[in-house]
Amino acid sequence: MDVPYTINRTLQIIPVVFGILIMSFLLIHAAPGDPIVMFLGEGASDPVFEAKIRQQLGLDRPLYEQLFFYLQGVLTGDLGTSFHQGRTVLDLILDRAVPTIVLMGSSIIFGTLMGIFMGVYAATKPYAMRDNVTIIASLIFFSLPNFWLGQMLILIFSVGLGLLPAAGMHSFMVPDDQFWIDRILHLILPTITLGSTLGAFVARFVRTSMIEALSQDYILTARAKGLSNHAIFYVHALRNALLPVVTYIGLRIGYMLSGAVVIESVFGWPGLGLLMIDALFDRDYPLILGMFILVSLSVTIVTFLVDILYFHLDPRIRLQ
Amino acid sequence: MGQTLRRFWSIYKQNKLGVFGLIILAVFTALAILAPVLAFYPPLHTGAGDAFMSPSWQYPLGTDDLGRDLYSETLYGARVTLVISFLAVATSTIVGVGFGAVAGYYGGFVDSTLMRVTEMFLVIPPIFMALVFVALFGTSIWSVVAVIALLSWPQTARLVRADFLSLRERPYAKAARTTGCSNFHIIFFELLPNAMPTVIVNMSLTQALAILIESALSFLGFGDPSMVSWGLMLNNAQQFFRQSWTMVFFPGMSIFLVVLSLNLIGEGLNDVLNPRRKQ
Repeated sequence: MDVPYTINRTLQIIPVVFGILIMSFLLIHAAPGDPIVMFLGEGASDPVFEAKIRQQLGLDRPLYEQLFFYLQGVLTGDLGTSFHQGRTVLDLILDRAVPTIVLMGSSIIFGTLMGIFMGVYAATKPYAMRDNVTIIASLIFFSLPNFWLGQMLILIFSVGLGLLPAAGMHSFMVPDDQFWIDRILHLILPTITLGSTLGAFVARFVRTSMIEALSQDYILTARAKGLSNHAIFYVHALRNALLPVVTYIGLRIGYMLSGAVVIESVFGWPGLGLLMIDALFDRDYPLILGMFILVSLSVTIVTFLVDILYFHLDPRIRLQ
Repeated sequence: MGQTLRRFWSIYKQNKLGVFGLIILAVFTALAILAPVLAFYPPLHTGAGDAFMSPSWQYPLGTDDLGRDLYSETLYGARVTLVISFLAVATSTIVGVGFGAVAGYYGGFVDSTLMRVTEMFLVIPPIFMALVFVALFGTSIWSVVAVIALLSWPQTARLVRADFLSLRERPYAKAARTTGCSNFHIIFFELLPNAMPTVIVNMSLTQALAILIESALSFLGFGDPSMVSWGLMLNNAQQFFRQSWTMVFFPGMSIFLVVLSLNLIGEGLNDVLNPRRKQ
């Protein structure tokens, strides 16, 4: 363990975390429109009742006091209560996080496998036909608006061919023995949609780092020992090329979450994305703020962990 | 100037995909400019035909649920997409170059503060930020432009900063300092021209990203509802998969082609402007 690096990196994320908290708080309060009016309905309230609610929610205090109480709440794990749904924000978010995590998990697996396959395929003959085809394919995938890819997949596989369900996480009535099959069938199209963008990025990354790995001395040694091409590729080069790939995927978690918000709307997937959209249409401030903060914090933490992990896994960076 | 352009073009045209991208973008730009001439109906004109008509000579791309002519709608959609993304890129480039140049040139406290701020923006998932911003500040094209600029300037700032860190140590920068040039002059007239290759390549890639964000926002129902945009058309198409495939296909294909063209142009420019980075 290199303790100074870990401590240094930890100290660096503290201002970032506070920056996010303060910025999101100010953003919400700078916005035009009164949450109380939204809460009670336009023009429907009497002033006395309105003042009472305002006091209850702490909205009558000066801004810096509200900020102070808010930070205090967040640091003790209290994100407030949703205006509309009457449940605590943390509860609502944890409820809806599971579908999103499932979708992201399956997409990361799909995207990584697709990317490694495409990248290795291209790197076996750099600058040949198959390499160019892979490069163009990956360019196409990251130019596709992911929600449109989802819509086209629905059009082809659900509406056209009738093979896969178009929306939701499961069917309305499912016999017990088909529970898992039903879930998996519902997961296929959203996974391809969300995972393929990641796959395109990973493919380029794997290709470059494979080509680099193949030019190293240890590959020459392996060839001199008379190892088969297959062994050189998959055992020696790929293993070394994969480390930066793992880091890279960790760093794309934020983009994946962004993609998930949009794709959940296409497929009616009941995760954080749909919760966010509902909260925005309702102007449910505590819920919006809570999601914004939790999502940004999780990305910060994942990025941080990936950094630390990479630092400890790859002895080469420590020398620099 | 003419000679520089000719030399630029002679290198750029070797990248066939880059040329292809340039053609696609030129076609879409022409369509956007000529939309009032080429379109059969004004934007959002309902009842041009019956609902869900298939493509025909009269309605080249078919009609939507309210009988709007999809061909005319798609043409006008190009205007919104190109204008919003162009304004967003211009804003984000000006802000990003300004901050990046100052941070890279002066270093120290200014630099580390800027790096923390950009780091903060890089961990916030872009669509989350964009949604919150647009939902709070309204769905006019100006707030869409503002949020895309807000999301993309840190990337530009980081790239420019990195360039400036090395540029400020070059002999000509030191010479300018010795002869008593002001910092302002050195930053904008001596160093910035040498950082332009990075800035220009980054602009085309940022515009591709801007179009994806803009269309995702309007797809989710947070775009400007008073203007036809490709994202809005896809939002509408979402309910009518079974009635019409043209409603889904053409607006999405347009987004894809424009984004692809910008990515191809970015690669082409990279070959010309940063030959050392070419693999």
